[in-house]
Amino acid sequence: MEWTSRRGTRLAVALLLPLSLFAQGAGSDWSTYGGDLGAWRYSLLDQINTSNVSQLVPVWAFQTGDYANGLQSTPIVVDGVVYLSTSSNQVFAIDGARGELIWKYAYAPLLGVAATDRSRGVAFGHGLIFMGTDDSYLLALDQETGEEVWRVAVQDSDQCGCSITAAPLVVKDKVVVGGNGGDRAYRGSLSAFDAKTGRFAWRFFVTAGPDDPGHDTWSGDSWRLGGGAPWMTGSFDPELDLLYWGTGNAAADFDGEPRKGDNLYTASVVALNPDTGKLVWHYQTVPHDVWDFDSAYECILADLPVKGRMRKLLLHPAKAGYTWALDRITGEFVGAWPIVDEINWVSGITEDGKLVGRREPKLGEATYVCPSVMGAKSWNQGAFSPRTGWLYLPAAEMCNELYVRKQAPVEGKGNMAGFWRLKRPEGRENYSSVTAFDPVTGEKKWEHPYPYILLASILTTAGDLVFSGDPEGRFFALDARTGERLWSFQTGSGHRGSAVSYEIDGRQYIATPSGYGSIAGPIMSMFDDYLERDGSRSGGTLFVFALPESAR
Amino acid sequence: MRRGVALFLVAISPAVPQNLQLDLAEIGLGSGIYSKDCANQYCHGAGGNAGQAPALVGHGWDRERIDRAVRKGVENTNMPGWEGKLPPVDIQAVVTYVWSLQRRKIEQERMAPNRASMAHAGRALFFDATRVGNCGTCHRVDGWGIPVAPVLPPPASVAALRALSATRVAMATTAGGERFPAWRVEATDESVRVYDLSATLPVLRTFEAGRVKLADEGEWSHDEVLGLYEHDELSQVLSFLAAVAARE
Repeated sequence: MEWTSRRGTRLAVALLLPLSLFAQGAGSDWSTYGGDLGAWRYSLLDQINTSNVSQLVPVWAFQTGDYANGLQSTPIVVDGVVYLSTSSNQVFAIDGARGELIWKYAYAPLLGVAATDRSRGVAFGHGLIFMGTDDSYLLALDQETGEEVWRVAVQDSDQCGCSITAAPLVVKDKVVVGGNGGDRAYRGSLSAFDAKTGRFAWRFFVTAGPDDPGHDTWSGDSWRLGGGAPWMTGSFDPELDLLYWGTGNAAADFDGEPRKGDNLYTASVVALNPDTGKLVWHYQTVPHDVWDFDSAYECILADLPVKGRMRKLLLHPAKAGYTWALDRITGEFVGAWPIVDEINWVSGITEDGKLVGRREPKLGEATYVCPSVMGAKSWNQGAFSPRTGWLYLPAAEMCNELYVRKQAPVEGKGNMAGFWRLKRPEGRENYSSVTAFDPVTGEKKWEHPYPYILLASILTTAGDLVFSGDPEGRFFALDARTGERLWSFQTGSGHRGSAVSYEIDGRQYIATPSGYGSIAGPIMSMFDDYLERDGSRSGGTLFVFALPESAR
Repeated sequence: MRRGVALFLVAISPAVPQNLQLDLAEIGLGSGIYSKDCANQYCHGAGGNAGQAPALVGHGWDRERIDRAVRKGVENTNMPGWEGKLPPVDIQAVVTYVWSLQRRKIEQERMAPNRASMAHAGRALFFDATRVGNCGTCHRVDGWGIPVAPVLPPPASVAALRALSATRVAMATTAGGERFPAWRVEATDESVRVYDLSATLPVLRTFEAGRVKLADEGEWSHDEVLGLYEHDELSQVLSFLAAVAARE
């Protein structure tokens, strides 16, 4: 079956595809962070495909002027208009076909001036564009004019040491947003506000307080500043009416002694009632984390056969080096499979989900741990194609030595209780790859190696393409079925954001942020031969590609 | 985090030593390199105001000490040595920039959190993060809190604290038919900005002129928003505010 969009392009319908009954994907718009509410980062558009991608040409570029920390955003596209946020919390509305500026919003904090930190995207809904800010406000802008409609302080940044870098998620009449700052002495939380008025609706505290189930998983008062910040964007299943979010690591990061117990609900996936914020189920991937293994990344919602039976799954690739597959109705453990070769913090995970052979850092020793604190995958997101049924992930093969140091927590201040030294695992030629996996078994379908660390998200399309970018500036297309590299374009600065696809007047566009930066860059510079200065040139540009008019 | 302009304050302050003024170009270069390689939240933070690594502001460090740390790194920490990774001219610029931060004032000393007294207990209650809608969600004092409404001078008693009536709080009626208590912020020919006080956290809302009417009906009292606190706790909060007022 096919349908015709209002602009006339034919879109393949995911419904009839063999592997998934959960119809999803982004059509002519890319209206939410993960492309759809299930975080597939999959475009239904197939005008650009494996046979013609080599003809792809740039059609416009938009320079934001924001260079510090790179361009980490996912652009949102609604009715042909691209909404792009930048590291100093500016938002640009850009004509998606011509690249002309429609409006610009520059955030002005009530105190001081806008920081230049990070913004990973905006959300859209109810005629409004929503953005979290570096000083932990949530804003709503008029979609048509860019005028500010409301702003609310989600938390006090000076007190919590936290910020909001993640794109919010619009769920029915609410907008939900999580804060950053879990490595500070801080109590992570997820908050929901009425989308139209900005009025506070609910808050879910990640660390279980005295009235919450699971409170006995914290010794003493450690829950108060126990971290767990849910610092990325969650997912929503409208059929089950459940909101899913990943949470950050427990704090202090490396010293677990003052917080004996499992430390619920840090390093977990939580399923919440979206109207009340009440916990429905949880699954903790890393009980009592002592490695800085956040479980805050994407929750990919897909219906897939497991041992002959269709299951409603939640696929959750995490820093700790595994993708966890959970039943998203109940939270039941279905399986976990490694996304990288270099894993030693546990010797394995049993068939019922138990961690075996934990290798914990000890005071006064260097403990060699893989993956590193940067994660087997950074926060940049993978993609799921219902056509191949495969999950595409950017993976990093990196280890570190962890050192524990006693540290008394001070609210809002750094609380890692130690430090780390990155170590490259020996005997490898590449430290990163884009890899296609069977999402249930973890079987590797193909691997596209890269010598340094890939830090951009992945886009996959109904044209059987996989797009991503590398730190040296190349934006590239792979064949989704074979991993063969079909096209590449040098954008002049490394990739740290997330590419999207959209369609206007029958023409398919691929848009990618270009602009290297973030925490990983300086950390990697500890290696003498890593990219050097040239490979980390700053940038802050949106590049947009399409087939030449003659080719389509 | 939001103190990126501090560099320019250094530049225009008459108290700045002559040599710093001469080095402004180098400070500018160093600031750019700093914000790219040193400012992220896992390292020293924007403007040197601390991330996971220590703050670089106001220590009075001499240039040699900074130069050594930047070139060689610092043992038993995550601070790498940058010699060989940055060109010498860039290293010199970063050192000059960080050196320029040594003259800046450290943020005002806050009340030590661990001293046992009414005032300190009051401070903890004022900013109690486990209570959504605590005093700090509307009031900024002692370096923390959201600056919606002023908090000083403090009322003389808990009864007076409860009875506070704010003349800037009106009843708003919107064109869409909403009614809510509104703290007036500003009104121009084009727009009206108010804090909507109807929810647990104040919302700064902007309306086109004519889309909201404000009436002085006096329906709001401070007591309505004090439900998170017991009487004794409010006494402690007042002790905290009195201590801050005495200090200032």
